Amino acid sequence: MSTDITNEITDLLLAWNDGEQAALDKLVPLVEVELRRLARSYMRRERTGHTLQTTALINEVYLRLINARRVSWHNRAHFFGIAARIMRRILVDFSRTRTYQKRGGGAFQVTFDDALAVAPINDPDLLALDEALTELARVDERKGQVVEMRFFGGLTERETAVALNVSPETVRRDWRLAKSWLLRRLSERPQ
Amino acid sequence: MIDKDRWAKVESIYHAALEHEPEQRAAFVSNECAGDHELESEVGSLLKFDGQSEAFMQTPALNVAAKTLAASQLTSEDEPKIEDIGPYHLLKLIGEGGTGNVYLAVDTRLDRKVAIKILTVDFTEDVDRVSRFKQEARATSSLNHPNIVTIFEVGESQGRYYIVTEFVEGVVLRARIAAGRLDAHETVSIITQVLQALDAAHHAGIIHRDIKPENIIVRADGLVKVLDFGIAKLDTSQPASVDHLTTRTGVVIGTAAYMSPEQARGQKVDHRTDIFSVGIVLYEMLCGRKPFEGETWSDVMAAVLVKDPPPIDPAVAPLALKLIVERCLDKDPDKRFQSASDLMFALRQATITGQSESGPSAGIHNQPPSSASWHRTGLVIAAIIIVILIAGIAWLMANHTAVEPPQKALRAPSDPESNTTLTWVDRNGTAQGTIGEAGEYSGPAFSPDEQQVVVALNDPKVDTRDLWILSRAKGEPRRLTSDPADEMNPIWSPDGRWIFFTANKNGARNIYRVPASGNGPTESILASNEDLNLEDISRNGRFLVFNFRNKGDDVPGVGLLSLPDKRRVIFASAPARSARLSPDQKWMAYTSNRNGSAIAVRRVGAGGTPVGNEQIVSGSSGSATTAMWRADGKELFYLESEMLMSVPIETNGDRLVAGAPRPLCKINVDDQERRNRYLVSKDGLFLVVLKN
Repeated sequence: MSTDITNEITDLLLAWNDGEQAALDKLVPLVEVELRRLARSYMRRERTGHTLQTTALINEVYLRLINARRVSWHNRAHFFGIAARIMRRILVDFSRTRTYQKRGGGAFQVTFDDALAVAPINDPDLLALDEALTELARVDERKGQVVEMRFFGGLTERETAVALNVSPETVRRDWRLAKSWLLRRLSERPQ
Repeated sequence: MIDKDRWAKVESIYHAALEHEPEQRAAFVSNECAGDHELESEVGSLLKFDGQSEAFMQTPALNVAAKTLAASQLTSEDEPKIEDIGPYHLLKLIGEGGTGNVYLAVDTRLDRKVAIKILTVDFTEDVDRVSRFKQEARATSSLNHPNIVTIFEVGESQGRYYIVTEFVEGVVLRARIAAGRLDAHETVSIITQVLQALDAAHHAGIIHRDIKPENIIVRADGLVKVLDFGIAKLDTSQPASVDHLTTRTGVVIGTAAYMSPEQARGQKVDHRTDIFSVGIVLYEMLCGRKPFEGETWSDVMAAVLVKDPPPIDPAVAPLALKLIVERCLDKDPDKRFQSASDLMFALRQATITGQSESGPSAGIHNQPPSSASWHRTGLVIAAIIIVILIAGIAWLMANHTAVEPPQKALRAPSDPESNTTLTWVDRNGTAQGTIGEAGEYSGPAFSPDEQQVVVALNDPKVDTRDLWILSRAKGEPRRLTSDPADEMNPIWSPDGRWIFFTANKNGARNIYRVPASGNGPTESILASNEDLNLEDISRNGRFLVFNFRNKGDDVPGVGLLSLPDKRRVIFASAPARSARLSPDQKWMAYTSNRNGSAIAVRRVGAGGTPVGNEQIVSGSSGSATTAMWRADGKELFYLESEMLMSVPIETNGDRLVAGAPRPLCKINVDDQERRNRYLVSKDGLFLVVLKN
């Protein structure tokens, strides 16, 4: 990724952080391109036996998205949180598009079902989870953010804690209650 | 919307409740809510989902997306587009793995569904891997076991290698665990079958190396299938040891969590690595979480290498089971169970102990065990049994009050007047527990996985025999037929779906079948004016072995019925009965009454016709009856007066050589001339209709 684009993304992130909502719309496609590119190189490495971890990819995506020299470490965690929001949007969009595509849709759906592995609920999908999460954020904003960062953004407990400026223990408790809340919400949906 | 203060209250009571043991939570919440029922129900309903939320969102969506995205890009750009391969028409992608993708496909020649794993292009380019793959696949395809997914073919088409296996429809154990913890009985039932698969593989020198819930499928009929034997070795993307991998991750890594310490260190592994992995799966099934967890790869590995897993809650497993799991998870392979069969034996003891209190040991002559039978493992097992007996009884006592009565209380008619029980007996004649209560039983038959038994049981109130299904683990009965006619001689189809049986519905005893699930009508299979008795079924489910008796002369004979076209073949017309096919389906053993009563063996030819001469394998007493094969076909058992006899068998093509018969033990089989009054399980125990 060229320094120019990195700088552009960092600019947009900073702008969004300052309250410029339109920045998000510009960010999404840039991040998506980067995500695809990295997914590809990640897969190559995995197939040559180099690494097994997708999370390495996530870190890499985030670090490439922002120009580390322009933001402090603390802000970086904060940006990770913002990036998680972008990821959520991209993933939900993927899922939505794929649902309408017959062929590829199946595979994508299957793999998300793995992530949402909860058999008592019939086929919870990412779109339903997204809706439920929006509702949760209305009841308790921070818990919504915790889920967004941990599930959609792949952040660790500690990173989420830094981003939200709370203790890791708080993140752990929020995560646990939020999961129960979402599961309950998803199980109420008419199937 | 819920207001902030109220939500804060919900939250604080919720977390405080989690500090209490699960069974005390409801009371705690009720007390905290002090009569505010709405609050109580809000917290209560959230707590209900707490236990199920472990696997939920465990893998970040981004991981999944990146993988899928990468895979789909590779498929579209790097990989040639695959429509069909060889004679296989691909239907849909059903799984993805390090070595290749798995598709549901149709074998167009046989019009049957298969699963086909197509190896990646990378793989095919690697000559060394290809040769190892072929070697491994050949070894694995030699495994022929009901609990191992059968490999049909290994092939190559347009430079792509593929493996074709049977397509198994069922629930992947991973999903089953995600739905909630399994109880001890269900856990043992599933793991026992996994161990049977491993036992067969280990004897063939094949180590699985990647036992995990993702590789275990439970079919609707309860039969368990283990996937991907030996394939793990070929997946070079799996790090062989703890290395420099980045430490930043929010995921519990799948396979890493099932590795044995020796595997994690990259040392040479033997079959005991599978025992360790089974221990992890056992732990996870019982506890709903993995024994070794961590946020990073290296945390998980460190836990596997040095940490003891958190102790298993005594509420979820009896002490006996807990000790078994701990022994599987010993860091030192020498201190684990040394074989799959040792572990299987210990597990069975743990469950049988749960029932043996009511199981009579009377009626069996306990012969003192011969010194030869007390070899090293025997002593180890004996020591374990003692611990298990004590623990099992303690568990029973502790849990007895908590057991809920079965829902649609269909108790099998127990008959205190009656004097038979279904009792497990070992080679020495020692009772190992019973299934169900005392009653008037006749010929039982195993389900394909041997976890259930279908048996005719007389209801003393109406004096009618009906079929009942009893579970080996619990003995909780399920009624299969309730017709006023007598149903008997059940046989379970090899695919687990049907129970074939005979019934006197129209003046003669004819053959019928009913779905094993009990959901569906009874169908007539063979109607005739003779009295028919079912004896056995061929492994491919295409031939029923039955015994007929002409109305006029009353001389019994043995016949085969080809199921698709209802064609009958007379196999033995001279007085003959109680026929059983050998496990390799090449021989039939039956009771021949040509000259007294003797056990005869004869070759089964194409289409079920007899080939060559009848060969008598029993002694000269003239009172031998009811032959049963050992699962590997190398030993034949029969009854002679009150003795259980054993004949060693060796086969070589068209030749069968029987060794000298010798008595094993005294065994009090009820009405021993009748068919199937005892069965031999795959692990060498006898299930006997025992006269008390």
